[in-house]
Amino acid sequence: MSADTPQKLDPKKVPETVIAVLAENLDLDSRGITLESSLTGDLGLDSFGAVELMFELENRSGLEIPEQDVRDFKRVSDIVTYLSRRLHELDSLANAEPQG
Amino acid sequence: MINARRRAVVTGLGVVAANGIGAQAFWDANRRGISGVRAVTSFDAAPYESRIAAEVRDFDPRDFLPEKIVKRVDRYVHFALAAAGLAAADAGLRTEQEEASRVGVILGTGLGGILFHEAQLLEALRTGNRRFNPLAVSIVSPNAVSAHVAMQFRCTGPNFVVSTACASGNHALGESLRKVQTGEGDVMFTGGVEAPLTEFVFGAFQAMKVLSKNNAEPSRASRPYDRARDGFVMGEGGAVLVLEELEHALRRNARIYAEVTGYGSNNGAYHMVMPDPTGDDAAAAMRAALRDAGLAPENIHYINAHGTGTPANDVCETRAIRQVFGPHCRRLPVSSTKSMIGHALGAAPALEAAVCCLALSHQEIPPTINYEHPDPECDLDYVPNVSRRLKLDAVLSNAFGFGNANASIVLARYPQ
Repeated sequence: MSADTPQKLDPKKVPETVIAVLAENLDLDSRGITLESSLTGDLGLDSFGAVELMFELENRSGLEIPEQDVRDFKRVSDIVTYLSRRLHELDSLANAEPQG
Repeated sequence: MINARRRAVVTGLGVVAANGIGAQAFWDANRRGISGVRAVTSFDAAPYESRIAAEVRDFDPRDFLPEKIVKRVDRYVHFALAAAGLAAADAGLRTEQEEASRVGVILGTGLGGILFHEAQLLEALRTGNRRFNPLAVSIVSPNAVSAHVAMQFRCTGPNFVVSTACASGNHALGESLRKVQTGEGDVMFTGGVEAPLTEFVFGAFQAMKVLSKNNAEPSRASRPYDRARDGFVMGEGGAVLVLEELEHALRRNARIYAEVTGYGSNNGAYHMVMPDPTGDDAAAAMRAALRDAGLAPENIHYINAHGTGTPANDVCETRAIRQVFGPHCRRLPVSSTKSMIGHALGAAPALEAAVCCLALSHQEIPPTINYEHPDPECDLDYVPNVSRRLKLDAVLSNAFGFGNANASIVLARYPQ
């Protein structure tokens, strides 16, 4: 329940992390969740479940996930792609040469 | 209002206490006078005058609940769900075989989710991060506890939480009795839970000067009615009782611990934290419970006292008992469960109701431990230090909360 300062999520671990968080939040067996699973149809994610899911993913990734981005998530792969892209952007920023 | 009064019996006990988890362990510890009071470990109590508590150790909510639930509720709900599960198992009650709308939940808690509330705030202040858990409101709310029990056991009957400080558990039990008597429910999960071991709670009770400072000898610090008492010891935990309509219990051949036969409650309208020194209001609550049970004072064979160990409570309660029971006091043992498990606030009356059920079924009363120096103002038979076997037909359990909330319960032996 404590929200420790988030450690940046290893981009390689995004798929397994998303699946693990979904399994835990929805009380499902992670082996039954694939990248193709549909969030509402296959996994039964409801609107409050989505709020909780994003809260947990924000905790684990250190990212802030705006509400409007969440509306586009249909399948597990959409979340994985989104988080991977955001983490990559964060990396590029960190590695950019200081200007001036 | 209550026609051809339906009777209510206790068929299951679930206990999570500092001196034992499960009814059997709890009873063994109580009859042997085992204290659950130790130095505080759940937070750094160094800044506080009282650094002892009756903590529930060796309790892992994961032994009782799925991880998903464990993470989404406060510790006081952990206690309730664990205790409700133990109580249902103890009662042999399979709620999935019951008509859901006939099964209800009324529980008591004084402070609800204060532990989570405080942890979230401290974290936000420490990190500067104002992101709160999306479930935070529902985790803090006192009625989270009755809602979670309802979800866990799929019971859709009457459901609410009573919050009357340290009397909460007795009000919950009394209101559950009424639900069974009026026919609003056949089976009630009732009792009380509390998880108040936090810095705020210690600091706040310290400000009132009501906590024992006997940090050197934790297990001897809670000493109700003893002349050397210096306040109460904070406790935590809870008890859930399965309260069932008598015919319903008989139909399924349930084991019956005791019958709940009387409930009296009132308010002293005197002061937010001080008891009325005359004891008149507490006496009136006891008389109301006796009247409700149809018993005379002489019919009561034992009182499980509120018995906190504060100088004020023990004197006022003694006066109130003398008012009601008069000369019968010579033959009326009175003991304090709080001498062993401290004061678990709203949960205390529920733990004490469990003690009464066990005392009636075993025909034995647990002692008041740490009783060494008689106090001339507390002159009853407090069952000092050693349990006592005796014939028990009916017993009374008192609970008095801040704000002069008084509730007394009468329980009777059910002959089997």
